[in-house]
Amino acid sequence: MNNKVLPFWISTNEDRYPHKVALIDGDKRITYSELNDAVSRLAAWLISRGVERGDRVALLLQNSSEFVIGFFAVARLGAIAVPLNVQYQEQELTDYFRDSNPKAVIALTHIIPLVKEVISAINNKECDIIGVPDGGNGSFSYSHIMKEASPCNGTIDLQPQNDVLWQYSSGSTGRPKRIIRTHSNLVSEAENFTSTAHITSNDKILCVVPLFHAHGFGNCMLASIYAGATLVMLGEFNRRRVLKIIQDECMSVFPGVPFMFSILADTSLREAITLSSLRLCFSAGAPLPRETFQKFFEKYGVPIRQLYGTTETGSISINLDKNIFHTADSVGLPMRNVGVEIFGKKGEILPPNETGEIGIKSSAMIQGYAGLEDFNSDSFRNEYFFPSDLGKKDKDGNIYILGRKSLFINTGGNKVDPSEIEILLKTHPQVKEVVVVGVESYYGEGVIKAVIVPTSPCNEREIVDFCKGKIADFKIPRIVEFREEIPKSPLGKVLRKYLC
Amino acid sequence: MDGSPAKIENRIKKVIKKRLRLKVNMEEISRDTPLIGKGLGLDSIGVLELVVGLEEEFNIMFEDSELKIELFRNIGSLTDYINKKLAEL
Repeated sequence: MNNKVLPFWISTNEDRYPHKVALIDGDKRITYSELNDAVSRLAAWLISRGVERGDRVALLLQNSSEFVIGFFAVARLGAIAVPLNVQYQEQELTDYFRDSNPKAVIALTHIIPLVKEVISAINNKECDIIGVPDGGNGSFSYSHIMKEASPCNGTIDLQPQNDVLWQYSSGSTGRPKRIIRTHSNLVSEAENFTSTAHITSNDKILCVVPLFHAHGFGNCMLASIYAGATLVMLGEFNRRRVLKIIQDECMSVFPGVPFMFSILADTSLREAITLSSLRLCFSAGAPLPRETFQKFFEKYGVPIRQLYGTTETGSISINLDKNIFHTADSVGLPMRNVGVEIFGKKGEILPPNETGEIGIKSSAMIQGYAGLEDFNSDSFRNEYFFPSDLGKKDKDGNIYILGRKSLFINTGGNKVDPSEIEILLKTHPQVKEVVVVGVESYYGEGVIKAVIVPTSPCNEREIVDFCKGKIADFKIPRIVEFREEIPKSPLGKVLRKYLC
Repeated sequence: MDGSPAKIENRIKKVIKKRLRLKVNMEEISRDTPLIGKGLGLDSIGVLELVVGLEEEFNIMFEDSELKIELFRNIGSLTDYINKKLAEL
């Protein structure tokens, strides 16, 4: 098997570490040998149901062993995994399913009724639904498949350039952009990250950031399986459980998002907790406030390092500076095999300490969004990807993110496109005009605020209630403010700074 | 420190306003106002921010095993929980 395709890792790790624990998921401890067997069984079952190379299989799962097994089973048979946020509501799922037209969906049992509605709405008559842990209501049971299915015989001829993953990024038009990644992209991403951060088979990586996001997917799952490490999964962020697991399981790597670190830094403890086993603790998804870095270090004695990455490229840079207290605000140096430059307005590369647009070049990145050629010419230029981030490098090459050119709001690691919420709120009968902006929370996170000019009196709760069930909870405005008019420039441009 | 339910309720409202930056009219919030979903519309991040704020305000600890949806059903259920916690101190 080609060593640049993902199934190679699973079979190689079975040979190298057959009895080593690959996954810890609650009470379940799954060795690399058992992982290979489970991947093989699920792949064989999917093939028996007619899933073929190039077909899409949606994953609607929390962090769990089933997510890892599901993804690698899909990869093994040459199909394409489409991991989606389990918080998505009907309209959001309909958009993603219409775009990906999945041949199978592996979903948490309680989501199955919603999945069935969506599948029916898009008139997809060939889609199998596998419920995790159990099926029912016309769907198949994951537990039953694992007991009954035989392992897959033989191998499918996979090439590094074959597609294996579709992810979606928020789009500037309120509709998602499809990001297609190949086996080669993901192998490069794992190689770049593990060699830069020195992730080895001795590591134990805590996976509490969602696997359906690029951060958890790449820096937890891919990194751990690639290195032959142990991945410890938590389905949800549970403060004291996270701390206890790090201590009791002697975790060595803890990837998180700023919100998690802020909460942990403020969490009161009944007994002393030791996090001394952590050799690498890093934050991604949004800038880490300096106050959080300091409070966390004072409480646990562990410095939080910043990592920079995008869904389009995988991880880009990480701050491994020995003198972290001087550069804590930096996202560090580019990873191995990744190039980062700061560009001026005329496309010239800027010298140290000058602020410009960040451009990334990496073998792990995509070359463009599917079907969005107009957009691609702006985001992909001269072999670089431009994620609309502004930044600078210092004289040592450390990268600092200084702002975004786009209007996206980052809520706890989820990037939300304000226009998507504006489009929804404009359908409310009492909304004449609406602008959605991001304001800072108590912890410096993005909070969604809707500023509304109503046609007739209405209140905040009516607006929140209207959103409920139509968009994922993390997109619902926390702050609703009513005004008589939206401030605009003489040319009619909305003056967002007066709305925050 | 006055631990009457009415006082506890007011302190919870203050924490909601300060920590979550909710611009709602506090007089409109009653014991029956739901915190999650319809009502104040808190998501899981909002709930955690509120919990940390309440721990600080009342000097109590919420057990992770107790962070169930029923606890955040409305302001009244949260008030009752905190009242019980304060009585145990």
